[in-house]
Amino acid sequence: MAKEMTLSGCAASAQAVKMAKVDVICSYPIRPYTAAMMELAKMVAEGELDAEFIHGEGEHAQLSVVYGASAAGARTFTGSSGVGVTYAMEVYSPISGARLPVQMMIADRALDPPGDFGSEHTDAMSCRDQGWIMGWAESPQEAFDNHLINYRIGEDPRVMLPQFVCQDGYFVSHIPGKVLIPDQAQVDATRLSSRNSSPTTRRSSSSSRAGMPPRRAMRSSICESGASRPAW
Amino acid sequence: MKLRFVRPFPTTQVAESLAKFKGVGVVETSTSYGGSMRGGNLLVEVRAALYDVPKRPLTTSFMAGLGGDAVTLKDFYWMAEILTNAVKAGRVGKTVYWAGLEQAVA
Repeated sequence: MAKEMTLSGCAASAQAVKMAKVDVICSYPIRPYTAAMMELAKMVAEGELDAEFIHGEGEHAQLSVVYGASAAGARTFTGSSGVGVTYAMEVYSPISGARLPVQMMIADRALDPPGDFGSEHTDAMSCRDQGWIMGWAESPQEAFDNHLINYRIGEDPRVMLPQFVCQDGYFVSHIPGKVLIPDQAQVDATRLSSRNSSPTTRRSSSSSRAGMPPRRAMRSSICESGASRPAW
Repeated sequence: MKLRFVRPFPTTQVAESLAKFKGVGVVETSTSYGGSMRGGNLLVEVRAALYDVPKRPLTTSFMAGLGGDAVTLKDFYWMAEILTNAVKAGRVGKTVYWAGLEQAVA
């Protein structure tokens, strides 16, 4: 049964990304999109989402991380806002040129100067010629839906393109609204058959890593077998 | 005509200079995948500038020299032929023609 939740745009995005069962997330803070990464970090920390959560050194690093991860067959998610979007500019055309279905959330914000936090589309629009699919959500519900729709379209073997999934900063990203959340089974059944059938991916299963232990278990077994245990 | 500046875009001057022609081909060296003109970025601007002209010329764009590809005199004759045919027919077939690629196919 689908359930109704009251979520901000950022929280709705995080819910959708979780239900898409992404493999690799790369974050770097910049408001207003940051709230989505805060939600996802919590989901990973609490074991609700089995994904690699990587802190990038900046937006250029974020996009470089998901570029590599997507090339290796992982479903990826990253995001940014405002000047963060333009800082990563170099990496957009290699990703679309390589036909990798990276997904990037943008919660729109003005560019500098004068260090404006206001909501406007100048950040995303400056990237419109980079060969990415691009579209906007006008409510938390549309934000939720668009992430799933974009994975489905972008990972279709006939398409294979990265996607900017945009929403207005603050007005959508931070104002809660009612969001109808489908069952995980519904999402699994409809969305993800596409990447499976693509010859460019080495993923054995779109919805789970068949035959593999969860990453968390792998990580701890590696730690226990090694002489030194990393701080994390 | 040659655009010395693109920002700020000389909207009025473009409209005044090109209004007297029946057909305008915009030669460009950049593309926007998925854009409304299916390629030409300058065509978007030129078309918009000509929108309020009473008798708008037909407009299309020619993609030439992308990736440093050589643009030859032959390419320009090819562009002129397409534009002439478009004016004769009273309509343009496409918003973008790729010089050096479409001739090879045809």
